[in-house]
Amino acid sequence: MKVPKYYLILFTALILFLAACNTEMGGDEESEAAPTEEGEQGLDVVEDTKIEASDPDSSPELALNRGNTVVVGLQEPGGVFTPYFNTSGYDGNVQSVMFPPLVDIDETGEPYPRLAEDWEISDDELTYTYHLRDDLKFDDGSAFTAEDVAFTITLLHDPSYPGSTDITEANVVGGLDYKEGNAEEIEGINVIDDQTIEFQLEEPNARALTMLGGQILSEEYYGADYSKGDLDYISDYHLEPVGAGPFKFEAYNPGEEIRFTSNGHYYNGEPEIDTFIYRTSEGDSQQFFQTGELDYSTFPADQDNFELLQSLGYANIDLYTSSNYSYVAFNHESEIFQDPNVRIAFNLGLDRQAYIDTRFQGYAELANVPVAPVSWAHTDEIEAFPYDPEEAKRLLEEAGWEEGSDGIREKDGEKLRVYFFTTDGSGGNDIFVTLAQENYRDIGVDLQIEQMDFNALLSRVDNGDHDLVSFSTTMQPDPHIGVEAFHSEYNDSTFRGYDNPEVDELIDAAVAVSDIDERAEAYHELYAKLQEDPPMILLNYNKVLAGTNARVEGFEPNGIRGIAPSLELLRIAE
Amino acid sequence: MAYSSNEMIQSGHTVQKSSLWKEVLKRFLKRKMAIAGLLILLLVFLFSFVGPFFSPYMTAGTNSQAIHQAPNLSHWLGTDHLGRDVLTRLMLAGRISLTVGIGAMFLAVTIGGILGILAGYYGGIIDQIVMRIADILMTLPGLPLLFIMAAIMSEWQVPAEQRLYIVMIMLSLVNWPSLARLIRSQVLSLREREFMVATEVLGLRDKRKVLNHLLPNVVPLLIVTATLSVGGAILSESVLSFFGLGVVPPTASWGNMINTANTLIDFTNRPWLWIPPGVAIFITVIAVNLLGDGLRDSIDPNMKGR
Amino acid sequence: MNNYFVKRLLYLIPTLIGASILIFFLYSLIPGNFIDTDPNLTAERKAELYALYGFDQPTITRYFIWLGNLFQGDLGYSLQFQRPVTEVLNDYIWSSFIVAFASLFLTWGIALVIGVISATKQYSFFDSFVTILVFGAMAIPSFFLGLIAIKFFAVDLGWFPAGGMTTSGADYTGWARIKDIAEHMVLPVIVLTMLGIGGLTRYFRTNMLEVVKQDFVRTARAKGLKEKVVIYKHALRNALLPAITLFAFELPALFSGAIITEQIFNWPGIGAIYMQAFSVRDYPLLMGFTMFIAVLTVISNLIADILYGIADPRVRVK
Repeated sequence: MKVPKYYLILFTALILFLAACNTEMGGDEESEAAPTEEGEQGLDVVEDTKIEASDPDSSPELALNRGNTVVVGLQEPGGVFTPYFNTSGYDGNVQSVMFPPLVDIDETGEPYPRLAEDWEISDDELTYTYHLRDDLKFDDGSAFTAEDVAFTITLLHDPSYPGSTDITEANVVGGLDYKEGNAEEIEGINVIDDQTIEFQLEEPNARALTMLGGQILSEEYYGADYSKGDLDYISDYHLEPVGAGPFKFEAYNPGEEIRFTSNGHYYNGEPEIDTFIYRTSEGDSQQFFQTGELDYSTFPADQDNFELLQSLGYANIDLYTSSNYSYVAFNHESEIFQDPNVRIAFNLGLDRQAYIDTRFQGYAELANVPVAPVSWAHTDEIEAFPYDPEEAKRLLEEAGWEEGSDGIREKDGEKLRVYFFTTDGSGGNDIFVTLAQENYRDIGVDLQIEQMDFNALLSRVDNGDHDLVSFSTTMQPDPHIGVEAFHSEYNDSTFRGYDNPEVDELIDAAVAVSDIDERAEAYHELYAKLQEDPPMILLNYNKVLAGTNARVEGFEPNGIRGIAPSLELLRIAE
Repeated sequence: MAYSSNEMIQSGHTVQKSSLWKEVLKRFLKRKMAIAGLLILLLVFLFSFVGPFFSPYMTAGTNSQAIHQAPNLSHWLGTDHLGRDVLTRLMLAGRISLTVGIGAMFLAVTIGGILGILAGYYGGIIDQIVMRIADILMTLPGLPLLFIMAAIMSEWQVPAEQRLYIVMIMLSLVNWPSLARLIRSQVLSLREREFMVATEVLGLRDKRKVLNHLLPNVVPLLIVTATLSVGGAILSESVLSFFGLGVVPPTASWGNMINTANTLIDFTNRPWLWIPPGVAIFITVIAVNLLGDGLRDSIDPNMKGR
Repeated sequence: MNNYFVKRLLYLIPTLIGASILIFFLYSLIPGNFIDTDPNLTAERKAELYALYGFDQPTITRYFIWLGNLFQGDLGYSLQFQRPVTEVLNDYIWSSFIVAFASLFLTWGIALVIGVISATKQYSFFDSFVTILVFGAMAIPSFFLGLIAIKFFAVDLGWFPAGGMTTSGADYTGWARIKDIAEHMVLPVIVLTMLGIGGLTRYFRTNMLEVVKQDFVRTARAKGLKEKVVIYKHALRNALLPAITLFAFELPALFSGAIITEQIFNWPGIGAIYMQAFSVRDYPLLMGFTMFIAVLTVISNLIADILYGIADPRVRVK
């Protein structure tokens, strides 16, 4: 019976034929880049701006009738509302409503007093003293004293602390003894009186001010069952937080909303708004702004969304620059990237401006240094790598990568094939990937794209499977965060293998002093050095497009803290 | 008796077979819907595999001057956010979706078919093992299983062009259990039929019995099931691509074309980006199902559904 | 009968154990870990956390620990929510349930009616029309249908909300709340129904057709009974019998959440939670949920088999 064999052969042939067609054509499809005729510098960057609503009355009924309640969208959090114990950043948003820090950061990254009305740093920068405000209370009415601060910092040193904050960076004297040894208390913590607390450090660290002066947990509430080494009980409190912020926790309906009411005990006076609600959703919630269910929402900054917001006459538009930025990291343990000139070539061979123009249409800025323009550490004096494919080719040739017959470079028989890891980002990701492939093919690099979900990406990057990987930073309250990974002693998987002693020195120097101007200078030196030995390819600074329903006034989001500082100032217009 | 008993059975079977297929063809040609399905499918194939050769944009890359154009004379379906012609991408995406659909079906039917036949024919331990594995696989919900496999396979460093084989493998691994069950029950009922008993009496070897006698009678069911499962495979591929687990950009598949238009603006203002691929999937799957349904009715008018 | 029941019950056990092994080891093969979610952790901190959560133990050990917990009814402790998995499931599963239940009701109701009428009027215009509709419904990708529904009914026409389960900021209670949820449910339920209706309609139609051709129907007609009585009293009952077993298979679907639909409609169900848990690798939650569904599936198979055995005595003999 030949019949079954016949089918077998037919199907196999069919499959192979189809597959062959696909693989061939798939390669050719993106071989030629169409010439772009934009100006030399690309599109102009759209300036940060605020635009008032043209027609506030056109707001959906739903919003107009909401009364003294404000609703903001948020992605579904993990449900861990105790600061320092969450992994999801969205839990952090929830916490920021109820837990203001002792010392907060303003929109340029400089510290200002919050629950602590004043602080002192000794000349040798080893003693930090915080002075709390008078009559501070938690939202349940109990007193907020220096004991609570001591409790919080001690808790963070606990050996069974399961969260991601590493308080030992602050170098409190006796901290390591508590954490790893038998000490029952931390030596370096001194409660002087109800409103004064002093910390002794082993070494100076500019970040200590905000690390030790962060969000505080009530000892009476969170510490009632605390004994060293046993933190399991804390999970009982994750859904019933007690803080000292402008709003206090009222209710959490998973999948729907988190509800807060105004806190009469708040140090800055009870907010005008009665109820604040985070409406939670799994994915994007921007359409709810259009239906009036949200009073405030952020949108990816591009021309489309800007026009959308303009068309909604009732939206106050706020375009501001965020403190995060996007970049592509090199795998410094990969053979290919050992030579800094090769890395410079990769920087020069990518037309980042074209990518930014296509994707953001002027709503993002090319990044030149690893800190956002809003920060005091930023400088325009260091030039971003230009798009110079000729120079890139020259550098690659010099490094021994000769152009092969198929246009891809080779060295010692190995092709210059580079694996680029990325996640399935929404929308613009395929723009970057497509353009990058084209640009790199031009200079003789075969860019292979691998797409996977974020967690798999992190795990594989940890294993060093990649050559290039794209990331975006979180909001950066301090410029140190943007560069700490480049330090050879920092055991982070992304920049493992990057080892430059001069860079190490500069990083340490920049965080050893507290004076902002001194630090800024140190960072500028550091950034210049990084241009010679690039650890990454910087892409763009991000902007945020925020829309507020005109019936609510007071939202002043900034790139470092988002809307958290504005919450107590919200009020209903008219 | 010039022939051996084997040859007699064989030749008798052959004669029966060719007139059987002629019958099938006759019945098939009478069913208008099935023919419609076949024609539509052929058109889709031509569209995807031959169409691009007629497009001026087949090798064009990105064109940032032409982004976001609505359908117009030079771009019949408009352009996407990289300035690429949507119609051409639709055709090229069709190649991927069709290849994956057919490939996945082929793999699933092969695995499910072989295992089903073995389980049904030999019974006993083999049957227990195969069915046990199939049962266990079937207790897991389908979509999560696909996600799991996609995550596991994302660790294997697969060059982009070969990504579609991974997708085919994934889909076939999820689909073979139900196919195996189906084939197995068919084999079970066939096994008791007289012609099979006859082969037993004649003392034919196992391999002969299975290949020359059992298999030809299972093939019709296989064909029908295979055709119908192509539709399912194409739909599954589109779901995978939608979640970013299918083929990787810049390769287009109908599923990931719908996905890239997932932002609010594209969704409301640029329907030409995501509606054509959805319609393409729709038409193809309908055609495949009509064809399969027609085949089923022609091959055995008494054959029950499922 | 008892023999049959007991045999099937015994089959349950190796299947479930096999499922638990498959689930555990599949998930353990997935790259990535919950702790990896935070890219800012240093390697030491990561190692500390790994030890804290017990991830540094060999896989087999972890499997048996998990299995042991399962037997005690403990589905594990969600890493992300920091609560027992059963609690998390309980929070979200009911919202999936109401949508699934409503859709089940509609799907079966409509499929039954259409299928039966279609069978009694075979080859009529109605039949062809229904066939086309059914084929159409089976050919649309679920997410595409959802997107179209949102675009036309929510965004363009504004008849229904674009997603979510309730309207925030509005403090509805009692009837108003039920109405609010119902409004939000309409589109997802319609989409789910449309997706499921295809196969079921054809099933009823085929069953009905088969039954109608049988001798006892001919006899009933020969007896002079009215056509309506023949169909609805005699044929229908016999056609429906096998469908009862099919009903049992719907059980897992009631609780498994429609992952795609919930994603599209922002519906806070267990499917959406699963997706999210997957992206952060909250393995206890993932495994606990998958195991739960596996158990439901096996139970529903058992119920279906038993019902089938009751309905068709021939099966029991095997």
